[in-house]
Amino acid sequence: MKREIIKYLRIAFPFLLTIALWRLSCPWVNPAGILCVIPIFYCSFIKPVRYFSIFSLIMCFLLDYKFGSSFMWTIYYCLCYMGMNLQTAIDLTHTKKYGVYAFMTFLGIIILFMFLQHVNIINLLYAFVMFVITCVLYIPMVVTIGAIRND
Amino acid sequence: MSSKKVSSRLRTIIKAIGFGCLVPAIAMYIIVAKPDFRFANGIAHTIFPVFHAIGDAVSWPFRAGGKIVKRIHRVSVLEEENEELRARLAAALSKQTDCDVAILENKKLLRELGVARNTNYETVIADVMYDNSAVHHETFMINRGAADGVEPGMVVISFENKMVGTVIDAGMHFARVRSLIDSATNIAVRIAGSEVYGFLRGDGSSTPSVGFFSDHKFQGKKGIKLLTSNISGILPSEIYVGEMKNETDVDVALPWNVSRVIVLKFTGENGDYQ
Repeated sequence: MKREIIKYLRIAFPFLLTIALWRLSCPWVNPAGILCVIPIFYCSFIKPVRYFSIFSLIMCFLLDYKFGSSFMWTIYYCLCYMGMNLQTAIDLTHTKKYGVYAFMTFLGIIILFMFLQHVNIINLLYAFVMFVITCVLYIPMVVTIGAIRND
Repeated sequence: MSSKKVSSRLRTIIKAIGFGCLVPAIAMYIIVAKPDFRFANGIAHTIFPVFHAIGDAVSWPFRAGGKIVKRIHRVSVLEEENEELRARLAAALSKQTDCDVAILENKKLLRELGVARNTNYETVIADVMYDNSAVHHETFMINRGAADGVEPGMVVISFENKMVGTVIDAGMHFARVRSLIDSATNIAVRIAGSEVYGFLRGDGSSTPSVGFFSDHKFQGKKGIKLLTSNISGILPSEIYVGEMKNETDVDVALPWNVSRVIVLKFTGENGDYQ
């Protein structure tokens, strides 16, 4: 019984972590719950988890809802998912350092896109802080996910 | 290559194509449904509370920890504030008469400046659940929704009668408010004490800018106060918006400085302010 519960919790962990990060949104550190992009990226592209892509789509939709951005994250996720899975030249499942550089590129592009919509110093600072915080927290979070899932 | 591997690869490709097909579908939906997104918002009204409840259940230790830290900080601040207030109270009591006169003078001056203190609306008081500020987006959630009569388009003001934003979407028990500094904000304003109109536009910074004045000779300057304009009944008239810092920038109520707000219900029957 105990082992069964632990087994289910292991499976559910990335899903629950994503929801928790989305819920724990606060300005500057986790605006609109953007940190949930970390498990979304890791469990979709680096270490794919079963049924996580559909779940990620819902989370991107909810992220868009909180941001007030019109399907920006949802479209971006769909494009990345399609791009990653239709070709065989780039295989992120075998990248080093948990795919942190791929994550930085993934996040950098969308943050740059957000920044370019309204260019000013405050937005530049905001985009930079958002990018740095999310990238700094990437490795600890994916290590935790990996440890709990026993990868 | 084994048949298992082939079928797995095929499944991945089909899934990727499925996700790819969603992009034009969403793009078409954006074109058709803009700016209301009723269908998408309808879906969000169902999913959001469910995920929010799950999030509440999963993240309660972190939120509880955060609250404890916040309260400890607040108590320490309150202790300092208490000592300061005691000193101020003693000084104020000794000048009570002067204060009463000053308050009356202040009220008179505010009336003369045309600063609105309008409370002729049906109101809903709501707590700010959280702030979603990110780059140039600045929305926040309040804990009152359609069940309390909150509708998209309603104006949200602070307890100091300053406009904070407008409701852009209302779920059953929550609503999303677009603050004045959001880049999508573009509202009609009037210069207090004159008949000059203009438009206030957010850009993601904490000071939105005002421009497109009806009188092209008008020059903005520090200290000018802005009120809402009732053009087309979109906003209620005479709500205090902010004070100009320089020629273009305006000091407004910032969402992260308010914890409780007032939603002004529509006065007209067609979802407007008559």
